[in-house]
Amino acid sequence: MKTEKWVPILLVLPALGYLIVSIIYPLFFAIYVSFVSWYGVAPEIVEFVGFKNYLDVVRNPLFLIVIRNTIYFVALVVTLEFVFGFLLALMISSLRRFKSLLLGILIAPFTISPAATGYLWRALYGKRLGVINYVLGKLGISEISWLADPSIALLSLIVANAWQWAPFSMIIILAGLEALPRSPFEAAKIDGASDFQSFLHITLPLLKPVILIVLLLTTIEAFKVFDIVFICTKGGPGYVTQLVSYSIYRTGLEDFRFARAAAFSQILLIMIMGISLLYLRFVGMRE
Amino acid sequence: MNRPKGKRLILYCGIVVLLLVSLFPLATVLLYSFRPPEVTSPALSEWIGEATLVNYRHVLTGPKLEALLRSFLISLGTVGICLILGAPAAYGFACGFKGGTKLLGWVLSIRMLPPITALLPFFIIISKIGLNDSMVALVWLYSAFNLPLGIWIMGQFFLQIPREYEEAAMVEGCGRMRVFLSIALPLCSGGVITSAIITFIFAWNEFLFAVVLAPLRSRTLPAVLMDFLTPFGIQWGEMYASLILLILPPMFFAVVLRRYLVQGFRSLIGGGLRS
Repeated sequence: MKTEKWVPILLVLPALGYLIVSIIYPLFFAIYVSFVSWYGVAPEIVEFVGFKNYLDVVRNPLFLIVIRNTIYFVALVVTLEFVFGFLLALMISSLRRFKSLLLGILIAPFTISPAATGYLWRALYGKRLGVINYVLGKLGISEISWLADPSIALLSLIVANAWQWAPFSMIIILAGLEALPRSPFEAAKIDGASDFQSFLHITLPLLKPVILIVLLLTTIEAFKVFDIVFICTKGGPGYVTQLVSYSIYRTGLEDFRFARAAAFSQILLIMIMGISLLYLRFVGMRE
Repeated sequence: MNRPKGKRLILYCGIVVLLLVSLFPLATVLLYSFRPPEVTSPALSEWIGEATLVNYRHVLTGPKLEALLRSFLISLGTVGICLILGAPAAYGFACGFKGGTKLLGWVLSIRMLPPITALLPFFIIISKIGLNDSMVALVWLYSAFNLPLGIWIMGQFFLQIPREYEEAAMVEGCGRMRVFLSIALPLCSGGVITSAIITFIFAWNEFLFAVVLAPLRSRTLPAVLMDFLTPFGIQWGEMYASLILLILPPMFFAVVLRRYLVQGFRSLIGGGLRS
């Protein structure tokens, strides 16, 4: 009977071991690499250089540009995804029929690969041959250079990314909406509250935990964005669409400055963890 | 719910608009995949009479087919590992043990890791052990990254099982393992399927690792589409057809097997509220 206690732990062990070898170890290795000088894949000489790599990253003028781009991107993308996700969720939840089918169709953008989204929108955004400009042309509007115009390139990517992730918000918010109790709403209706009022004072507060999760998850995912940058613009024109993930990739795998890229990626990790903690503390997680 | 007709109308209009916006990009790609390869104009009227399947034929008989099959195999492999390692782990966590909740928290926080942070060390490690440009490396990394989510989802389902079932079985003399295999798993097949589907989609869609770790011999479908973006211009016809092939499996899961995806998402917030 005593051995029974150990079985759950035994069940967990293989997965744990696998994760430690596959992720934890590489992570620590990356931290190690960020503190040494490391050029190329298998350098002969590796010296400990302390925080030099980190300083190199931060002092690079490109760093501020990339951070600024990323923060701008994340802020807009999360807002768009949240607002549209919410609208979609509200609409679906008021339907009586076809809910399930509609849900399945609306989820589609989310399930396709971010790379597919990249290819897709690159085709749509093409200056001469893209569909969007074609449709605009029919309406009398001249061609817009969605991906090559520095002032709107980032916005184009934001739209593409929000298109992909809004269904994610939608489905989580929808699940939250459907879990809400009916009684507060009925009571409010009896008291004469309008739909809008009950939305503001009952729905929103009750949804706070769900809203928090949605915002947190979409923010984390927005920081990780890479595929559409790589496929649509490669960080261009100039540096306007270079986001952190892509910048790290460039540093590590095109310039082969592994140590610096490793440092940069730790900085990214810290940023993500920091923002997550901020969210949780700011909005207040109960229990 | 009785709503005035006006409101209903607005609701339906809104839904149609949002539906159009969501599907317009995908519909466009589908339509253009039937465009003859020599035509580059977006104007539908010019070529709609000559809609053809030749793009698909080119893609499915060319080297891209290998990439497609590789993606498929890699995705299946990833699902296999995630289920074999993840299901017992999920059950173990659901049973509970000292420090279990904390450990689970750590396992889940792996999701906060940006892939790029793991990519660099992985690239170096794989090169050193000679696994570069191999499917095995991808299966390894994909399964590791997806394991936490799989464990979480299946764990949520395992938690739903009423204690009485397990206790009844244990009183009859079944060990925990038997309980797991004969009771928990069958009861939670929905959760296992959900986890399998989500893992498959993730592995199928993955791009960054595929491009970096398997750039030549073992290319996967998402990476291979990069070939179409040549410096001389984009080969639209085959690109669109390949894109449809890339999109098809996840969309199939989304629309046809949506029940499982929705369950998966529900389990995301179910746990969030409780933790």
